Amino acid sequence: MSERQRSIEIPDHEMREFISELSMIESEKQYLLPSFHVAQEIFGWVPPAAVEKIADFLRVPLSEVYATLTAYSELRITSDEKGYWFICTGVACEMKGAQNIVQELADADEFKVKDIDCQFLCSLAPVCVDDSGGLHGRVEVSEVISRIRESQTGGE
Amino acid sequence: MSPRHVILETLQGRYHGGAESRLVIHEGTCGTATNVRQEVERVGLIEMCEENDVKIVYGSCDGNCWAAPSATLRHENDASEFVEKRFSRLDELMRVEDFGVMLNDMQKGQGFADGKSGLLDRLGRLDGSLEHAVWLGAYSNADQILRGSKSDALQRVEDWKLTGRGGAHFPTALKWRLASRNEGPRYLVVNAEEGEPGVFKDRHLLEGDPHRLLEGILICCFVVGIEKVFIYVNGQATTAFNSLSKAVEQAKTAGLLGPEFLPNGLQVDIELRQGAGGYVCGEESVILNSIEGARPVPRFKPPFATDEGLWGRPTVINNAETLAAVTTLWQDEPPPTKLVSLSGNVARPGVYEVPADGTLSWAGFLLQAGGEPGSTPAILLGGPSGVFVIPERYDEKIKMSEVGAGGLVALAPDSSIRSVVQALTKYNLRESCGECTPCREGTLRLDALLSVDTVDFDKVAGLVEVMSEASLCMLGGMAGRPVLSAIEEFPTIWKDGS
Repeated sequence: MSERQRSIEIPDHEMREFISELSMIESEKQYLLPSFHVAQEIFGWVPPAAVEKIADFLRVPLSEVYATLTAYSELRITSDEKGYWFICTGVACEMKGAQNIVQELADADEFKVKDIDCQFLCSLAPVCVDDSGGLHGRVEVSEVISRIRESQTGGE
Repeated sequence: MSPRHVILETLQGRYHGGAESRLVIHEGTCGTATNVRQEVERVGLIEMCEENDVKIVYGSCDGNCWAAPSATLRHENDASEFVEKRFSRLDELMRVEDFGVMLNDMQKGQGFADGKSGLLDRLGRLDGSLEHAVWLGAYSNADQILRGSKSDALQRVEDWKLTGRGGAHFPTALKWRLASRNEGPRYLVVNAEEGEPGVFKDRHLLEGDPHRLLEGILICCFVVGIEKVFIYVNGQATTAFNSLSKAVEQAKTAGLLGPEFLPNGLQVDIELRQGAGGYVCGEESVILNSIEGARPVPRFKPPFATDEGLWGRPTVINNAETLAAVTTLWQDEPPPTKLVSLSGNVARPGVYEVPADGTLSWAGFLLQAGGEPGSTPAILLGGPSGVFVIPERYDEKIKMSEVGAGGLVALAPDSSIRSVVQALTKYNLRESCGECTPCREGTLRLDALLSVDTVDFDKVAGLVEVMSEASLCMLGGMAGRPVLSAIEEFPTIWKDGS
């Protein structure tokens, strides 16, 4: 865990909400993954302060908590991906031009866009994931751009 | 009348039970991703329904994902017979002026039902209530089975040769028998992780008909003697997770999980767990570790889960589709089917139920889905651990053992097979959990061997043999499968960086 991630301030109300939610979970090791989900749901990632609270609450060594946390690809241990949009590059999406969409958006140098592994919506390829995790099917570059702009301006 | 029957009768009675016209808006993941709520408004369907006294219901995708955004107008009579009309791709096909005429015809009984049966029977038809699911037959098979003996039920599963639908095809009855021989308490773990790229059938089933899975779970619990169940759902399948959570609460409240419905005082507790990514998390021993709160890596086998599974206790691990399929074995003509997720170069990608008895050919399936066998260079079966079916084989019948977990991608004429294989290999490399050397190092070396202009087949074959023999789980064990398949079927594409 980098010093930079440690130094990110967690809003008090989010931490209070997290502690309150965590206290509703049974204090057993088996609830490690559910606890991570609670943290990610509230903070958008699993910050070091939350990891320490989880380790204390479930009485699991901090090293073991991190070993488990970092093994799950969908759990975020940095806040770096906040605000990003993703274009699915699974086989079906690739066939429908996903890579071109990623490239065009990257070339525009204006949007926070990355590629991502299969999002399991292959029947509606190509697929885009918005910054809140929402899925959009059969997308085109222009549509993704207008959606991103719409979200940046706070909607309609 | 047994208390069990009273519960079902009461639930059916709470459903209106009379003639009614409904518009089922297929929301679910597919509908949400195609803005179905806005689209039904935009094309005037909502207004039309209000004017014609049609009830609006929000349901799931019916497996016809290609049709999204879509809605189905449905008229049901007193005898629960129905006719339906689906509006596919609302923006392209909807002709609002015909709505009143169509509805009038339907109310006179003129129209069609698509005659779906088996696992997809209720998909996209339900309104989300337990009462409606029961009205359309949910828990009726369990009701019948629970009147008989455990051994009769187990025999039925054995007679119909039901095998694991997750891809390994282990005989379900044998798994149940092995676990039941060991002393309790026993656990049931339902594998709904479905983390294989290209597969999306379980999440459709869970979103659209979660009570079918719960009914299968109750049958398994009755036969094996299980009181604690964990359902492990893919972390991204949030709609499926929410739909299933709601269904569990509904079943619990109605008394379906306790002694009012189950014999011998059986009380089943069902707990849902949400995964958090990782292809390897679909491997059964990884799920066990994940549920226990340990690092999600595979365990050595033996011991097998039926002897020592969750917390060292006998555990049945079944794929969600396997348990759902159990409920169909008591129908008059049990449909031996397999759910398949079809995507790629076809006009109608979606979830299909194909016969598991080898009566449908690859070409026939492609045509059914609006594909063109003549311009499909290959079908990829089973994603990162899959194989390629080439046109020379399209007249052969589809075999269950080949389909794996059921993810099929029809490739396009301009698809680069080599790029597809490299992408799959890179995926396996990223997803390797790193626990065992053959997989951790093997996927890295395999990627490197494929990244040169001219690929050395002997080196690839040697490496893949080591990986398949020595890897701890099937991620590593089968990572080389698409590579070998592609080399065998397309030997000319591996030279000079082609």
